[in-house]
Amino acid sequence: MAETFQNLMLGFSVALQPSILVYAVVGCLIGTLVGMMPGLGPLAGISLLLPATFGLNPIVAIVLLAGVYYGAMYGGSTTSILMRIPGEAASVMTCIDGYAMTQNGRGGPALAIAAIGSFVAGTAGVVGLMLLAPTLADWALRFGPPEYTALLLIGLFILAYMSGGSMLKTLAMAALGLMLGMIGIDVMTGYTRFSLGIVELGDGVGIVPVAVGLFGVSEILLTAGAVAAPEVQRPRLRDLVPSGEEFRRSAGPVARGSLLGFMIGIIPGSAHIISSFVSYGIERRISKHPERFGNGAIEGVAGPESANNAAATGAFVPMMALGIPTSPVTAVMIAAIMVHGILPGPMLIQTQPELFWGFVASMYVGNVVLLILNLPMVGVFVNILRIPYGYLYPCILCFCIVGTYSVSNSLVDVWILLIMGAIGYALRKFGYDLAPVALGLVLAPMLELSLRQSLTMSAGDYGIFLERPIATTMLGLGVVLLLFALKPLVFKSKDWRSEVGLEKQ
Amino acid sequence: MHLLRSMPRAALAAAMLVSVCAVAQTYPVKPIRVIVPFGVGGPADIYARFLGQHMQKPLGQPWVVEARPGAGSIIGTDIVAKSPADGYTLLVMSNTHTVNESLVPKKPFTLMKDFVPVAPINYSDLLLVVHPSLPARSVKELVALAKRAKGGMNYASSGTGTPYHMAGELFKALAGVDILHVPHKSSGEARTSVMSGQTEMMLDAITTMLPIAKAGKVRALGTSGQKRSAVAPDIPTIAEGGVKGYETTIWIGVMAPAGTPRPILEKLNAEITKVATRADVREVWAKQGATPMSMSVSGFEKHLHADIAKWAKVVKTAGARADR
Repeated sequence: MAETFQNLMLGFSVALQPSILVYAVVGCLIGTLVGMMPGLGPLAGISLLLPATFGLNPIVAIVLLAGVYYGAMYGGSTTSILMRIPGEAASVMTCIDGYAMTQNGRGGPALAIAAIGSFVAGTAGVVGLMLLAPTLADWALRFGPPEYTALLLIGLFILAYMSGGSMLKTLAMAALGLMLGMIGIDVMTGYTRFSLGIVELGDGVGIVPVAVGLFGVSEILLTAGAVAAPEVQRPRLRDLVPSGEEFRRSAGPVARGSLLGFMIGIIPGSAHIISSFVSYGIERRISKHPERFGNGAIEGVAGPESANNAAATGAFVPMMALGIPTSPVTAVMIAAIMVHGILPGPMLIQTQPELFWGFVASMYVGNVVLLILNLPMVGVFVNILRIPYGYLYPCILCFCIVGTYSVSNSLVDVWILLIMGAIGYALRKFGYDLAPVALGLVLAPMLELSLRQSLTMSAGDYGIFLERPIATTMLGLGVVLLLFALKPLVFKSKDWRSEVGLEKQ
Repeated sequence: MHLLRSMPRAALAAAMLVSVCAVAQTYPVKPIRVIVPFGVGGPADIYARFLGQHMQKPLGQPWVVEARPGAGSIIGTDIVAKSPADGYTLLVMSNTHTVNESLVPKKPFTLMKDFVPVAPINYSDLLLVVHPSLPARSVKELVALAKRAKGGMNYASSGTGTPYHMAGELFKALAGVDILHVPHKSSGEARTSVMSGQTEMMLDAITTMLPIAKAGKVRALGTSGQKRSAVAPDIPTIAEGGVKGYETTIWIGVMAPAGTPRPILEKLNAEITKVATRADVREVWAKQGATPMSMSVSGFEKHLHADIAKWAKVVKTAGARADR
């Protein structure tokens, strides 16, 4: 413990040097802006910035890039809450209740809680990274394809708790998402499926254009098609601060979201994005008033926002402790230090203590910077809503298109965005929930790959899922979740859905 | 008819030849766009940018690296294939491209028809590692173990058709063993799986695998090059270890759209070779496990043909094919 403290002091002595501090602040600032830009997420942000870091020293490079990374995680919530446009994929769930809160005139508190939740989760994540990195990394290694499959199945079962509409419609949307997820090159065999001869579709349908299209573009179309233009909001200062009640209701979701997000973040793989979905599903399930979800429940903002920030920090555990990138974002960050001749690996913490502890300390600093940066900005951002929709929405549509295009300079992505916008518009007219589409799209390729990897490892024997304790436990948990969801269907008893008249929709 | 048609073409060619000589002397007059069809932060991207830092001065024009990953390098490569052959759009390529020639028969371009070679950049050895729980302490023991297991063992790769996959297939073919291939989505995930023992062995870039082997998380059995690697001289090559004739590396090079004037190719080749063979560059690369390659334009062309033929054989034996 004393040693950790000493090391942390070393870290702060590095991170608080003005020359490094300034890069942490710049990184956070760029990240926030990147996150707010619809379509542009953390990966695009740090990829664009990577070449600029080649001339810097490695500690500065990694502090800057990390700042961009978690800055983007913070920033992603802003457009989700104010305009129902997910700034990056992890903010999809925030759109639902965050935007509903904005419509109820509580946009300010939603933004504030998102920032505070992100701060708590980010800081808790750094504490976890600092104290437990080597231990947790060894635990994370036990996560093989079978465990991954079980985790993703839980993600799939959580669908039942995610949506407010009828079960049939939820499942239909999930199926649509899963089918979209089947498009692209099959990693196991290399064959392309359902790509219609379009080379770009070989990599599959990206979550970013789909999410921005389904949520953002469809919202713009709906507003344009409304009989009467929605009234322009004039937020007052006292409406910006969350009420005591809102704080109280957010505490639990923030704590649970932080823990959940961190655990999912550590696991090697690309499952980070499901942390916000799972957090939303859990909050809804354990809430005494699940019917409030979808209509502006602050828990639906606090939980997912905390979870995605904690996952972002959790992802650094295997990166730092083992030198393994667990996500595309950490892969780019590893490249940033490798350029300087530092080889990441299990010995990194010992051989480069300034780098590791400076990095850890800079994350404490960065989270504080982001909180200071974001809280006062709430007032500024909320005022965007004062712009009449006739001017605001065309601008947002432009931003959506530019942002989506710039991620991989691909016009195909722009088409996906626009088509998904039209589909989202039609589906919402018919009362479908769109979040299950996003979840299905994210889950399908990962679930398929890990299932087939597991079966390759066991030479086709499904017993592999029952031989491994972690996988078996998680599968058991998943089955319990599924049975709970099926109960009302089997016993015809009324659950909250019918009580609040949702099933009739 | 045929003759009539070719007449103006010949005249045009003559005119072009004159202008080309002039072009090569002034080339480049505007920034050069260098497309890397792989992910940002990957070796190809890093070395392309590294090269750019040193090429800017002698060329007098910016060397703008643009990463266009996707569909196993096909998206970015196709962009270069369809770009004007004026020396202002170049492709950074690797043995993924030479493998794809036989692995992906249906793709919008043919490497040696739609591109002309410029210069190779460097190569890195692969490291053959196994999980420490495996009772194999040398390549020979591993081969014996795999023979006894009769297909019960598996190896990880970063995806079907990647150089890591092909290195594994080449190992299987030359050692005469059957080992199951478990593809992953990235080399990071593949590395994790062999560290944790989910899969038993892997051939991975020496740069990233060596620190893990030194920490004892995996056991290094051999390097993939013709000679021992400069970064790990105590590890024998796989060929030394008993798999006769085994040799494969990850190499990267530069190509240009077919029709790019020869003098431009020669000029670029000279400049790239100059950078790659500089002592300070050699030293930086050596730390990362990469060795400079220098070949003339025609030497590189021969190398490409040989590599394509080599992988065609491996792909055929492995029965692998991707219908992208």
